[in-house]
Amino acid sequence: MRSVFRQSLLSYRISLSVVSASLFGISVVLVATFDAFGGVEGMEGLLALLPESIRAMLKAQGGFATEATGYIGMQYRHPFYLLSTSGFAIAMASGAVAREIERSTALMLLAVPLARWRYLAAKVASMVVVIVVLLVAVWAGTGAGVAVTGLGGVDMLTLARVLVNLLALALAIGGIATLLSSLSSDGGHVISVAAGVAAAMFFGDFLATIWSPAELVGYVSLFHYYDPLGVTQSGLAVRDMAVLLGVAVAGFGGALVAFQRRDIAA
Amino acid sequence: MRKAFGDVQALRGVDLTVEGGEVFGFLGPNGAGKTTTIRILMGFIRADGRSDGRGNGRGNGRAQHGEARVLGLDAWRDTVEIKRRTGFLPDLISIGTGFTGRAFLDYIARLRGFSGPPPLQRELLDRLELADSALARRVKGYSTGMAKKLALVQAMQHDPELLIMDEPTEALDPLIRQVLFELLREARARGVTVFMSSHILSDVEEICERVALIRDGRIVKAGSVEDLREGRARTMVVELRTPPDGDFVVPGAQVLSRDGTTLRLAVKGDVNDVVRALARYDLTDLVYERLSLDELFLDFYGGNRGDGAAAGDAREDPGA
Repeated sequence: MRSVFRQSLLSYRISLSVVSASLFGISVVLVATFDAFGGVEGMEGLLALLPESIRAMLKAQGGFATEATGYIGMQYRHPFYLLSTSGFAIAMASGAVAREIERSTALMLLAVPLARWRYLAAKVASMVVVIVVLLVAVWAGTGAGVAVTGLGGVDMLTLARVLVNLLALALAIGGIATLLSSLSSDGGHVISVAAGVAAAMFFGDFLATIWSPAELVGYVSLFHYYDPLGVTQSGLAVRDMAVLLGVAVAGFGGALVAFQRRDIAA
Repeated sequence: MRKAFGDVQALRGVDLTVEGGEVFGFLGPNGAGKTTTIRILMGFIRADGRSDGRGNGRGNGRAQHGEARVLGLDAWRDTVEIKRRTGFLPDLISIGTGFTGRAFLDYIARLRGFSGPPPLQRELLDRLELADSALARRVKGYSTGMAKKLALVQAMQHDPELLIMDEPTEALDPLIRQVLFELLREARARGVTVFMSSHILSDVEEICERVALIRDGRIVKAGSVEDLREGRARTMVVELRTPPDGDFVVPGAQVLSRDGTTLRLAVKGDVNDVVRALARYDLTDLVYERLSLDELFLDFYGGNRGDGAAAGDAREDPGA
């Protein structure tokens, strides 16, 4: 099990290094933009000029109650962060089962004395580690940005809580993708379906925010439960974390059961 | 065993027993059900008709209806233990492209619980001519034959009790094929059981003691190679000094083809009758070919060539 875990991490080492470095750099730059926009007053003014739909996409309709921390927290809803974390989760989920079967590599990897659920659990564990590494890069980049710019009033612990919320979101998407992967023999199909579901949920959450008749749609979107500004203002919401982690656990659990029972017939 | 994939009935009734310590050949054309059978044995696929997933043959270690047992264990439920004691060579050799040959072997060895090289790894690498320089390269650049040799090493390096091999000789050059046969003979001498599928019949003839023939998901024949040969026509090639006048008639044989002074006969009756009848002709050469499994294959899969010869005397068949 440890060998599968280690090998899985090794196989992503290059892409993980590149994306982590990018996230670190972007996080440094985003901190620096705070002063460039004229601090919290300037940003509040800029937000007021933005269309409601854009504010809704950033979930920043209420402004930045915690000033610099709120501003940086809002940036954690930037598509780059969402795509990086969700993208890794989906890619690793696809590679865990479906792509191994599609490429027939599963035939030798699963001919060793290792229960299928252990194999998949090792893959899931490596996915969790990879996403945590990405988020640590974000947090470290933010810290570096704060240190370089001398920006005051940034609560790094609160931002860490935001990233925990983002971790839960990525794991929920990863759980769904892993379940799809455990049922499929086509890695590309898993990526396209999982990415499509994630995109649909993002759009659904956006729609629910700007169009009241679609408000209920927001509740079935995982993105509804990722609220950086909410975290900076009132801490991690138990409901949000419960929903995201519940979906993650259900997805991973379902995947373990499905993979244990399925035929491997590439 | 039976197995359906949707509307496709891959196995319609596979029922066979392989004894410990024998080399068993599993023959059939593409799509006959060989790979599906092997994947059931390896626990990749579950045979149909098992509602509880347990089977009911635990008492004597023999398979009951609808189940497969390997080393006396249930192929689905006990697959981890079976894999611990088994080496497997799949039909499709696909290794993650990021691996070097060495890294792949080390990875498989670690998954099998070895902290260093397994006991037979060095010897297998040497005999299958996989040099360290080749192992240092990425598998992505390997030829099909090289990848096959690497897969053979991973299957055999831990000295398993049972080897399950799907088309083991395919893509190997003749010299390495002979090395593989030697390795399999040595494994048999150590008590290892070998179950190998093939559609290369001469390979099976060379190494296997018993064979089973599968067609359309059913075992059509199982037994020793000699059992399978029994009652089948053998080919005799007769070279005459001059073309025969009129019909060429030999009791117990059928003329398969005629090309000037050369005739190919299918002999199924008493060879003495055939030889006595041939004595009437002036021969320059006579070859009585060993019955090959190719001909058996044709009998079972392609038509009834041997049956026609059984019935009566040889008569020239211009269409043959």
